[in-house]
Amino acid sequence: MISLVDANNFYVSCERLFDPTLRGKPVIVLSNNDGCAIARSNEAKALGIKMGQPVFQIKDLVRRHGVIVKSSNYTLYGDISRRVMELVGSSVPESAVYSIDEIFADLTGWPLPDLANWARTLKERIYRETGIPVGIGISHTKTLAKLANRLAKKSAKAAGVLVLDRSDWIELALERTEVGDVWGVGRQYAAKLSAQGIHNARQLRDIPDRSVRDMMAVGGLKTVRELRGERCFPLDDNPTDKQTICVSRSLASEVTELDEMRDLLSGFVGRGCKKLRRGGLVAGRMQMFVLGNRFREDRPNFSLSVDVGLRPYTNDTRLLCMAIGENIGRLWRPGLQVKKAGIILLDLCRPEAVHRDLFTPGPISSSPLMASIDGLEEKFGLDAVTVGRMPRGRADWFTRSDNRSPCFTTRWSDIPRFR
Amino acid sequence: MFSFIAKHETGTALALPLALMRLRAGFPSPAEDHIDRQLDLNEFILHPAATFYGRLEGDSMEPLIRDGDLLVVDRAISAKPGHVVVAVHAGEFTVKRLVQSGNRWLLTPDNPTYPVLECNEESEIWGVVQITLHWPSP
Repeated sequence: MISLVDANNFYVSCERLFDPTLRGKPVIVLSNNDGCAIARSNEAKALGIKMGQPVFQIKDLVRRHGVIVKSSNYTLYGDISRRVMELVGSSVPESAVYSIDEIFADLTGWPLPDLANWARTLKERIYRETGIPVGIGISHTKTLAKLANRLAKKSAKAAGVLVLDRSDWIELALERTEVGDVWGVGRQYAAKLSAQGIHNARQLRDIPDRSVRDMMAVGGLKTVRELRGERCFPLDDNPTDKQTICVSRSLASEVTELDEMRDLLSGFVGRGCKKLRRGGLVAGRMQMFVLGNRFREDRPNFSLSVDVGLRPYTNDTRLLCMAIGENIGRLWRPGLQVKKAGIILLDLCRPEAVHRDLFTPGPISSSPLMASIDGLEEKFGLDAVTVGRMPRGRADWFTRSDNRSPCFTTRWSDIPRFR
Repeated sequence: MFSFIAKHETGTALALPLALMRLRAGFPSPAEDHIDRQLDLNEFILHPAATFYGRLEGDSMEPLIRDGDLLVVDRAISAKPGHVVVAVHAGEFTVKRLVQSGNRWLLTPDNPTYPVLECNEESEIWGVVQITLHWPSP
């Protein structure tokens, strides 16, 4: 059997752990730059606030109902997530972290007489030890476990735990699940299926293989098989080596100057290189991109990007900053009002794997200088050390984290005060 | 036990155990075969995933815990009467001693000038104060 442990309204739950006054109230957490609601408490959901809803659309609602608004603090959420994952990981024979708030576990072969009881105990333990409420779904496959997990949260009777092992319960659960809520079925497929009269997961499961392949691609067939109880997705579906690294941000106010843009992108590249070094990788290509404001109808929306080959392959921040300086002219044009920008690092591989030829110098990676910088950042915090051009805390770029909680668990200066 | 800080070529510091001994040419150290690991306060943490740090404010727990002391709070320890706990009471965090009086649970300050709090349905134990750290010579 496969189990999925999924935190309830994770970011809100993290905030509630350190601020008891948030309990029972409508709370939302906003994305970077306070743009959209990316987490909502149940009370906020009940007010009709949708996932990803831009904040300007709900200003009135927020004011009228006293919705509490927090800016996201990924440092805090990442640390709480680590704790939850450690706890779950040490409680089961095999597990795989799926996202910041979800972890699958394989319980096959584990002699557990009462799965529901085991799950309830684990749920209580997670809340007691980390302060995070979770839902647990258990079934024969990952897709069914996700389905069970979703129902566990919605049903008051289930109280956050649902085990689907009996075929009659699975039938019922599939009927109660709309086709668009099945893991792997996106909005477009859901619309397509609905048009064919397929509305719930049971109907989806019963479609013959050939028709599935016609309507949805090969991935769709795996999803349908999983609904039938056949395991098609391995426990750990995430490749350990990243394919690309992207660092991007929405900006509080539009950037209109080339120099400012270059500084901004250099900052992003610093973050990206840090991730490369942490993963022991080098990059062979970089893309820089800038976007206009997609919500403003009076301004032209645009999307520009430039691709830069990196020879030698590298993870050295200085070289990438140079690459930005040399190529930003290809990207920029006068009159741009940039609302969002970023860099993507591609063609990632380990230094040993880089293809060598007579004319290409070997990859440049992890020099002692870079290692020192990483060490200093570990001790003094992110952005403690910057390379030449990189911006130092430009408040007006990224502000609008007006309501960010302190880093309660990662900075001594931010630890909670208790009277 | 001393540890000698040697200057690395790039200018970063590196702690080397017993480097002092190694610099003296020729003489082997009688302690060479007995080099032990370094003591680390983290070894006192029982449940790392469930341990949080906090700062005490105020003097409600004097003389045991003083204003500004660091608290090591463990959420995985089952709170028992007599334990010093961090509790949520009336929507606020408070550090008090847990006391059982008949079938009532009380949160009592060690400092008698503060009131005793009685737990109700909304009260919750946030964690047990496992260790406190005080700096006597700031």
